[in-house]
Amino acid sequence: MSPAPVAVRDLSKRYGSVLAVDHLDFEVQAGQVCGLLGPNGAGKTTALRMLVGLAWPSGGETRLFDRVVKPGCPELRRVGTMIEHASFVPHISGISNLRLYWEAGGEKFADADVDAALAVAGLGDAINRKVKTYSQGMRQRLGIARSLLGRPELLVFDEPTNGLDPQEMRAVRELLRRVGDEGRTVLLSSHILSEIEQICSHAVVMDRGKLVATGTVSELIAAGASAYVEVDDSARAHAVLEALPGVERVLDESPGLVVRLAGATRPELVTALVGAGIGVQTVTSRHALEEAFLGLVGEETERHVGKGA
Amino acid sequence: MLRLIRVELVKQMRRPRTWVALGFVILVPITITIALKANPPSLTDRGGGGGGGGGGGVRFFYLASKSGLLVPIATLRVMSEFFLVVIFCLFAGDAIASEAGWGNLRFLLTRPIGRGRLLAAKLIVAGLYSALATALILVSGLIAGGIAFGYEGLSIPALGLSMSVGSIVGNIALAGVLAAWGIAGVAAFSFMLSTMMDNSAGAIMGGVGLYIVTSILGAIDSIGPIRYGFPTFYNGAWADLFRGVHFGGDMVRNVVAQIPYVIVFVSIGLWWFRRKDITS
Repeated sequence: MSPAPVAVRDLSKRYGSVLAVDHLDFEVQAGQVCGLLGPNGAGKTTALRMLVGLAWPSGGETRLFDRVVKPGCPELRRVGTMIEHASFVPHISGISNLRLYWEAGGEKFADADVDAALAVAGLGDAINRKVKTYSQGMRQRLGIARSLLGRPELLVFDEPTNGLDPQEMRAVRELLRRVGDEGRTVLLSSHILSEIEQICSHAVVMDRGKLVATGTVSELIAAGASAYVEVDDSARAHAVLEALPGVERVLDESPGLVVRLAGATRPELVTALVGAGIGVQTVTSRHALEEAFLGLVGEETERHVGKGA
Repeated sequence: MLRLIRVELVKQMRRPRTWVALGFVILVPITITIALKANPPSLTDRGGGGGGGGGGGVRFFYLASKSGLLVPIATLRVMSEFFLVVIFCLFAGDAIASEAGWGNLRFLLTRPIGRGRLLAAKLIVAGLYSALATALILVSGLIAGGIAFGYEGLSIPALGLSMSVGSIVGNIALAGVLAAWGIAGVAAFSFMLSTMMDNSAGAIMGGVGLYIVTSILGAIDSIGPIRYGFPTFYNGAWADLFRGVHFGGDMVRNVVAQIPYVIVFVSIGLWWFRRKDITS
């Protein structure tokens, strides 16, 4: 078995009295599209900075392709990154930025497979304009193109849709999905749950610097499964469902109810409600990962977490 | 390493401020030449600026009006007092801080580039552009001065000065090197600050500030012998080359005085840059 492209071992980062990353452990295997999920301030960006050698760990280590990461280490040649918003040298064109970035690593631009990267970014003739004339969305797309230069085996993206309008967000997500479909390993941090749910096969959940859960997105959803029901008598339905085995908790969410499941299935909920003479209008699973996430990191983080855009 | 240096050279070359700075160092000698041609000075003139061991700027302007070969020296004398210092600190202070200010540093350092190597490339490029700025003052002054006053040797018995064309040209080259190296200490300070800041203006002004403070303190006799160790104390000594003095004395002290400042400031910058977390 080939070594994991990403391995984080007992990683910690302390800023004065604040422990931004607290003994974090996870791996991303080859071919996975893994979401690093957590509320703002969970330590995601700090962890990614340490992963690519921008920041020094206070404890533990990060490994890329089984080699301990040091600033400027050779394994970075196999990694494309976009940490926080994409930034460039503003007074030169997009294409010149890509060329200078690539050649700074001692490689020829002809070997960068730039056409493939530009095709993904879809900037057209704007690639020859100075970057200072670009919109934020264009910069993000150019940033993604930069990360794709040389067809890296691993891509590390930090909040790639931050600061974008909904149209640009959709374009960037589509682009990331295409990258994932090409079979490359991707580690993507986000606090937008729907984004992770749409793009990622796996997820690592962080909260307050700590690892909360890791697994496939479907496993995480199953671990925190819930259902949303709309009925013609919410008060009676609340009582019926709370008494049902396999239901952990029932929450009022007007106009319906959110049912946290601990073994019960959605058909069983319907059967119980109909059996009690309650009319069922809707049974659905809304924001499955959102429910799972809240179950994992706690209700108090709910207000810090975006529910998608 | 050569490819990295080339990348940094291109990056700086395409900056408008580089062209503005280099444009100024070309234009100032031309402007001075026109002024000298229109209103030639005499040795009895009194004027401000260009101080330093006897004679000062007025003497150089007088000599420049006698031979175009001295125009670059008169210009260098004036510009090395402040303007050239600002340009050196601009190139040095901008090196890392501007990259951090753009937010591009964190992307550059996710390439397989050692931080020491990047810093060395940035230092070399800052040095090359600083050397270019000095050379352009001299070349521009030579061309403008030659056109206006011709290329003649100097023989002025009243000043006890006699220099052949060959001797003047040799001394111009040596003066350029000494004047540039005389600013190396404060430029290294700007470079060090550049590794610590995300705002290049702060790093540039830090170097210029060090130059101003040490120049002022160096002019106060009461400070005592400690001022001999300031990086700016001997940096005008190269002007003695055009007072009939051969290379030596204060010129050598100027060369030596810069060395510890350059070593200490660049070393601190390297140490800082290697251990810092890159957030911008």
